[in-house]
Amino acid sequence: MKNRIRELRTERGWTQADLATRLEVSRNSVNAIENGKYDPSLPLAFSIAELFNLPIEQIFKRD
Amino acid sequence: MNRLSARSWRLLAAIGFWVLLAAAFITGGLAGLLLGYSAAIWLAIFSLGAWRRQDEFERAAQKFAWVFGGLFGLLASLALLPFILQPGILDPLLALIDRALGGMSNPAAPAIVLGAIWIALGQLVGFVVCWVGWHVTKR
Repeated sequence: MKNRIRELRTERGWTQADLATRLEVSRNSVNAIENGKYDPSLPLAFSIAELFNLPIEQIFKRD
Repeated sequence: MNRLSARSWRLLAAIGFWVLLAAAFITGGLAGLLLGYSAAIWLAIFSLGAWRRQDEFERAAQKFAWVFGGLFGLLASLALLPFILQPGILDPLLALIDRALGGMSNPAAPAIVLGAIWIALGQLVGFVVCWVGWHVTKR
């Protein structure tokens, strides 16, 4: 799964640690998701979408 | 206590468990047995505390490590049984366990305990290898 999280995060001037704090996950999680090494669960994907105020399909795309 | 991170809970779980287990072996007898039970209870409580504070990424890592590391660790411990059956290795280990058990009347007791420890150790090593591997590949 591809995603735009890194792009959306940097647009807002947030570090990975900032995003991790907002999502209540570890920085390792954010790093793995951004690099496409880990696909988040549906609840976490919804939390990410709510945080960026975008629909899920505009953040995550199939490979 | 609630403010401690999952990592702190994991660290406390591991340190307390090994300290209590070492104390159980050193003490031996009934007190040692009680210390052994305390080690298991300590590990269960602090592992549960760590689990509840972990995020889904870390939970996924641990599930993966238990499934594959636990399985392959179990198989490896069985495959490596001939290694500990060498007289130079087996005899000192049995003597050590027998001393910790307080010289139980049944001579099979140390062998049963050694077998259980050997398998648990194999699973633990397998878990650690797979857990580290997961984190390295997901960086």
